[in-house]
Amino acid sequence: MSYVPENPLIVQSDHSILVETASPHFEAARDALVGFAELVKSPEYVHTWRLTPLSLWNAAAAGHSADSVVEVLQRWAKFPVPESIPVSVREKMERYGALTLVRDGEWLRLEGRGAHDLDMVRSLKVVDDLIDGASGSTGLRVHPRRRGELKQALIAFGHPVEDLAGFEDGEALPMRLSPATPEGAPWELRDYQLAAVDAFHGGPGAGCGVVVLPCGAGKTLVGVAAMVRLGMRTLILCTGHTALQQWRAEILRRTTLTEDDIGEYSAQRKELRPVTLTTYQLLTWRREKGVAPAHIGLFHRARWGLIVYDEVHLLPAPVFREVADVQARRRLGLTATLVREDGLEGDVFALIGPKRFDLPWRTLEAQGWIATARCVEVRVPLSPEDRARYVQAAGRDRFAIASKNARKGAVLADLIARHPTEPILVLGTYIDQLEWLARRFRIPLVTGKTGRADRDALFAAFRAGDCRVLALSKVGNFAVDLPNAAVAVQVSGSWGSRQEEAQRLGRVLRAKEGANQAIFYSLVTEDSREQEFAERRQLFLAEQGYPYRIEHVS
Amino acid sequence: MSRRAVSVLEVAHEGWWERLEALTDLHAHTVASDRPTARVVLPQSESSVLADLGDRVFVRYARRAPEAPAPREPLTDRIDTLAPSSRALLHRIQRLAVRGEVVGLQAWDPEREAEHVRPLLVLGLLEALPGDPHGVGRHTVAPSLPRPPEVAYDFEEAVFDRPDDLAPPRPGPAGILQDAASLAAAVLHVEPKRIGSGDLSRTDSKRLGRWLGEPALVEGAPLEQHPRWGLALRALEALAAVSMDPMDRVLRVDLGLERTLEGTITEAVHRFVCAVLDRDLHPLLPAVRAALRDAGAGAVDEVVFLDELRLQHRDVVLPPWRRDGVAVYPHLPSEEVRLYDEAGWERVEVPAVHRALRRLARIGLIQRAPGVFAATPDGLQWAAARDAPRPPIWVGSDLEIIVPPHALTPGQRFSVERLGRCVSRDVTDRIRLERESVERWLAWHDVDEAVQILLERAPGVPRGVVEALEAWQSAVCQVVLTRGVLIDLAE
Repeated sequence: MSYVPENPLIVQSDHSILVETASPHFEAARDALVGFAELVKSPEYVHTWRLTPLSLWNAAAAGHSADSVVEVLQRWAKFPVPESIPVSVREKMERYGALTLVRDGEWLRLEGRGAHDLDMVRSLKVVDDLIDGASGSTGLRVHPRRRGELKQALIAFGHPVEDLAGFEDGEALPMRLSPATPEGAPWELRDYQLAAVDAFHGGPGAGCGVVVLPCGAGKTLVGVAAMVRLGMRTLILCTGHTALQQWRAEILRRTTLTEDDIGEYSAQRKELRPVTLTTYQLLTWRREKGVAPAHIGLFHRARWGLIVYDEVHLLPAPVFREVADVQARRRLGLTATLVREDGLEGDVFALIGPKRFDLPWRTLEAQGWIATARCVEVRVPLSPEDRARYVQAAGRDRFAIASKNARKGAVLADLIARHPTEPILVLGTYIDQLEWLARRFRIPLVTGKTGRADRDALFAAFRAGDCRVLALSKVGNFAVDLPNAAVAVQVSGSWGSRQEEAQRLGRVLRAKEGANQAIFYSLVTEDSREQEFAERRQLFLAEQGYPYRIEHVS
Repeated sequence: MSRRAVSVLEVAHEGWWERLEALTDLHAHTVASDRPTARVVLPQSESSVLADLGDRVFVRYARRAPEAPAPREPLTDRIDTLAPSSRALLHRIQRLAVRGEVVGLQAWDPEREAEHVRPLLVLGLLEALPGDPHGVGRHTVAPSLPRPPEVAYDFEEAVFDRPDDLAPPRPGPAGILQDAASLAAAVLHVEPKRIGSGDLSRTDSKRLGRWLGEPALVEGAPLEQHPRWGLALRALEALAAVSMDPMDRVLRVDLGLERTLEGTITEAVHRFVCAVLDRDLHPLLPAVRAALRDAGAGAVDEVVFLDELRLQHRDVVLPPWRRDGVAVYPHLPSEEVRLYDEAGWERVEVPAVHRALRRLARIGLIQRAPGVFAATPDGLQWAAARDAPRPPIWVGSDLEIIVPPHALTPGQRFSVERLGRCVSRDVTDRIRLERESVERWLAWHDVDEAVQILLERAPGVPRGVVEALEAWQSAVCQVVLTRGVLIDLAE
């Protein structure tokens, strides 16, 4: 056995790669892995990465060769690399580029590296309707409208298409990044943000793809900078109205664009401007069941040069069809976690584009760009009366009883006292619980029912320090930009949602002045179904290297 | 004061007694102890208490540290009183002893050396086993004797370059022992049954596959025929570490296996070698190890090896008797006397050496070609009696233990795989700590022991992992019945 103790990688035949963080070569190996493997989890001592077809196609799309991938694995391996791995890496990476889509006058043409590649495509019944009957031996003729559907169909069979058909330019929109904020503070993109923008715009097939960055790392800025560098009309799809407002504010703060350049396409306003912001919810809204979404045509109502998909992991499945229809437009996906619960990562690859940039959460934490976070699970017992109710209740009700455990109120009081000066967010799922806590502690509460103006005013007061403790329902799960929040107390959650837990931690991850530390408390009723679900909720963060310390309340 | 083993019912807090009283008559079945949270169960009441309390009670088994050995008179003092001839004989006896036992007939000349044996018996360095023939039967050697001086062998003459036609190495004992440890842990979890044919039931084989992280078994392959796990099962059988209960046909692991697997990898390998090698071949092992050490990455010429062995230390292998001034082989009175000469060497020792080499090749310590043998990687380590550098294991806050190759000794692996379920075996093994396996562990051990075992090989154990283990222990140990607790009879 040849064993090189100082090397960090253990490459396994199941395509997982373990990376020892204590190795002197850890950082070099990790930086190399970013290009062709996916980080699965990153607890303390050993991070797990995985070579997947998608990650290898992503690498091939970014210009990596199979030999360079194998060389990295062999150079940093602690133990001999299993013989099957180089073979598998070569076979998978060769698939990317075996089929290319190029422009052919008014049509597109699907070309194969060898004749057998096209034969393989012809043998797939599912693509019969997507190829023109007049296809010749040099390639298969494809109607431009079928561009996305064809890529989506082929990737489902493990055959990615390299899309070299180019993009239609949108209407030009001259703009620049402002060198200083309106308050006069100079600013510039951080190195990793610049690298993300470069990765999106550079290399073969540039102009489409996904940037993965942790919550609080400034994904919006990456989107804004990508838009500015392109200088064309842009459509931005957000997760909700609050996020939409933040995009608007950020564009105004960081670019030379003015209010007149930015339109809001929402339930209240239907503005179509050079930069238009809308929400997924509006795009998928239907007047009645069974009819097409009323506003989905927005994709085609202007000559967009760029479409930005914020939180692309939440891109609703119905929107994919329209995304497939606008393949001639440049598109940028932004997310903190590319994992989709519905398993549609392949569709994101085919229709939005390959992953262009990724950085682990802990790396940014170590560099001070996001706060150093501690997670604490506080186990709260039920009162004897509630325990009796809990025992007699059915499964679903048990979860609600445990989540709304009245003793959490006393724990929250203790935590507020424990952090007498820090801005605190109280995050919950059950409105009646939040209302009760808001009354008890005289703290403002933002829910879905809170009017937009009130909501914005409360957020502004929190940011300004006029309101130190703010309660938020699920509306606070995404894209609520409260950078000064240093403490989050989760009083209840949605069953076992890993996404929600990660996004809620994200609320306090924005870098802070001084110690740059944040703390995330999750109040969980001891010995209850809530405790079981809490373990599942914490999985994603545990995988990212955020262990939970457990505190017991007597 | 004499002591007695009893079962003790213990609760996490006194509030439990009232709840338990509602389920069983505590005062009829138990008596108070010196602690308010513990009561001693009357021997005749244990089954009633267990039946009444059902699965509320967790049964544990008291484990005691080995009794401190009674202070011994330093044996070296006694050895110092021996005449040089008796001392030399003692060393020879020690070298020929297998698991502390030696057969007089093979170890000394009952006529010429009886006078040298006598002081050993008188001083308690050697003890005849009752019932065996006087002076020539089995004897036990005092267990705490200092090791005898090493016999110096020099086989440089026999060493040459490794030839190309060596047979491919068979699976080595280091790997087999690791697998045996894994399988033993899985057997403890599953308690599989043998069916009429003697094989494990297919259902249990699948369940073992789930604990072992072996997809082929999960899909229905019979364990006995699996190249890896079938071998591991045979190794456990060879070590007498598993046995079938004739009543319920359940395969059970002898927890004495911990002793067999303890120590470094090479120590466990040597114990395994001794277990599978015939007793009469054991005296050859030091010579083979010395030859493999001398050869290193090279090979050993068998003819030269045999020649050197005969010339250097033939008597270490089989000490001769002397009759009428002539060296002869040890023999029973009814047997023909054979001369201890070169022809005798060819007839007696040479076949024994070949038998030993064949066996060592079968268990993967050496590779052979006609007239040649060489060490396998396992054999090299066994010969050097030194483990290769071992990587650490890693315990993650996701409750997974990552075990790289050769990171654990077989004994450590047995413990670690009792703590968790193996979810995959690849270059590394991934073992997930699960409540079910930890609960089973807690029947014999506690969380502190588990953490200590992990810390022996891991750079650290995340706090969250310790807390999870403690939480599981706390949940399962609310009401505990511990069997085999020693109390003073006065209690």
